[in-house]
Amino acid sequence: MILLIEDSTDDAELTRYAFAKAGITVPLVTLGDGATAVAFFEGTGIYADQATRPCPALVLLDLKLPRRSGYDVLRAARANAATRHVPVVVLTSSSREADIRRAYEAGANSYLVKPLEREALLGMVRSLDGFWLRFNRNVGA
Amino acid sequence: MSDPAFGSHVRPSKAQDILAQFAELALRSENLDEILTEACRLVGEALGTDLAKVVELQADGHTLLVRAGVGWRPGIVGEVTIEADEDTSEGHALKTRRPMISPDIGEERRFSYPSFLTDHGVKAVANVVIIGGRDRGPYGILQIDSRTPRQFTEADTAFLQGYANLLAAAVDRLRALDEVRQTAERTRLVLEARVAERTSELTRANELLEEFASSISHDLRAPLRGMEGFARILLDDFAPALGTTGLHYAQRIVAAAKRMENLITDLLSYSRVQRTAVRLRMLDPTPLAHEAAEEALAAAVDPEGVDIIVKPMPPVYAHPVVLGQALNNLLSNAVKFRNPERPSHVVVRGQRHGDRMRIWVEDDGIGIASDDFERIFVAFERLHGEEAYPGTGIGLAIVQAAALRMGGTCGVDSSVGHGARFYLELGAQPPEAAVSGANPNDEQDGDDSAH
Repeated sequence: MILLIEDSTDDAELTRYAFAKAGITVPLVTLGDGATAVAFFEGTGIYADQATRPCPALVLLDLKLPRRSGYDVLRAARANAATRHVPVVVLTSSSREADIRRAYEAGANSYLVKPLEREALLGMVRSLDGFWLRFNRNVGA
Repeated sequence: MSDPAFGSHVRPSKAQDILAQFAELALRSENLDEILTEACRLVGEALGTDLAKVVELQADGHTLLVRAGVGWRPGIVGEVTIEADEDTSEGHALKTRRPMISPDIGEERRFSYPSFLTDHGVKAVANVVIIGGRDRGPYGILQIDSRTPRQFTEADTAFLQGYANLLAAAVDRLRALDEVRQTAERTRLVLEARVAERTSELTRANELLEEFASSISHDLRAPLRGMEGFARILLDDFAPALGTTGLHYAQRIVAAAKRMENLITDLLSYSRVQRTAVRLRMLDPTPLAHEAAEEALAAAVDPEGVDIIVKPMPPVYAHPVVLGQALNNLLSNAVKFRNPERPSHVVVRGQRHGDRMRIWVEDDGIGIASDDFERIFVAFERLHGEEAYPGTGIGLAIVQAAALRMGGTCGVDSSVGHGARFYLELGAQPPEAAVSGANPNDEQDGDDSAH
């Protein structure tokens, strides 16, 4: 599955649409806030007893999230042995140098700025599919 | 007057010689310790004794520190203090301000003496007060110590009094100098602290603005993606249901979102130009103009038949990124506001004007009425409808902000139908060089003076 961590329902819906348009059949699961995403990676809260919760093939992560930031989510993912090597692609609207640096320092594999135009979004999603889901080899995959 | 039993007294010629030597040092030296020590050495030489010292009155008004001296064992100078009490000759001298002589301290009944004097075999002491300057108490006492009992003659005390006054003048001069330096240093420290405080306040304010701008751009763009994205979906997947009018409106939503996006981008660069701290340096604007010309043509809606000529320009005192942005905006306008009926020629050239340099961007486009010259530099002011000439109305405001940030100005000369000539006026040399700079009347064209 692909894990989309995104609080904007508009952006989540548009990304879901772009994935469908691009013909990607891998199921897309959306988490709408930072705290839930941290709990997912830590295996706490509602994910505490899900010992067999699936490890995502790819994580798409917004940085500006309610309750816990995208950086916190990244650190939680990297702190857990099961998800340490999961590819995490930051998908955000900030193009600030400081944010990009922080994201890589927290363990991001890639940093993408959400494009405004739908055509650009479609192109980006196709590239994600090709690179991360087809060509890229990951640990334990 | 002198009593031969107590040895020789000071000879007038010797005294004058010593006074002259000391006066020379007292006027020349800026080192208080040197002056005080030399004062002791010379006075000893004049009076034929190997022991002399200067005791300095401390801030408490009664402690005297042995500040300088000659002939003393280690541990005395700079360390020993004497109390200027009623029962010491020092206290008495300070009180009366008169020379106080003890010809034989073994016989002295009025005063007690510190033990280090008897340790050094001192038998006689002369105290002469070193007065303070205007509005100041005495600096201390010049003390001439003798290892033999000694009667100081009137000539001796007169010499000592004059000598001590000369010493007082030198001490006062140095203390005044020191106070001026300390005041200057305190003022400098206060100013530095104030500047540092202001700088950190400004830096903080700037950081807050930067965060604000970044958060605005983030938060304003998020709903735009929704508008644009969903309108596109309507266009792509729901065309039959929308019908012609519905499709048209969906397209209008997409176009409006695009305009909003441009506005946010321009506003951000406007605020960045206004806030960015720029370090100016001498640079050649010619390659920046070439780059800006290429960008303007690449971004133009109708670049067909547009010819931009960049002439070599003299160097300017500017910031490359800010100047590049300003040139880009001027050239984009020159290309955009062309006359669509005929080919368009745009020229970029430099004109030296004393210690200033004008970069001219001249086009043969539609031109601007002189009534509008001021308005066009104001943010969001537009002269044309969105249909005819799309734009955010911020471009020239950015040019003006950029000019101001670089210590320059900008302006325009134009008339309707006859093209527009915009200029950026910047320093032709760094400000410090401009003070002794060229004759402001000597005007020359960049083309001629180029390199």
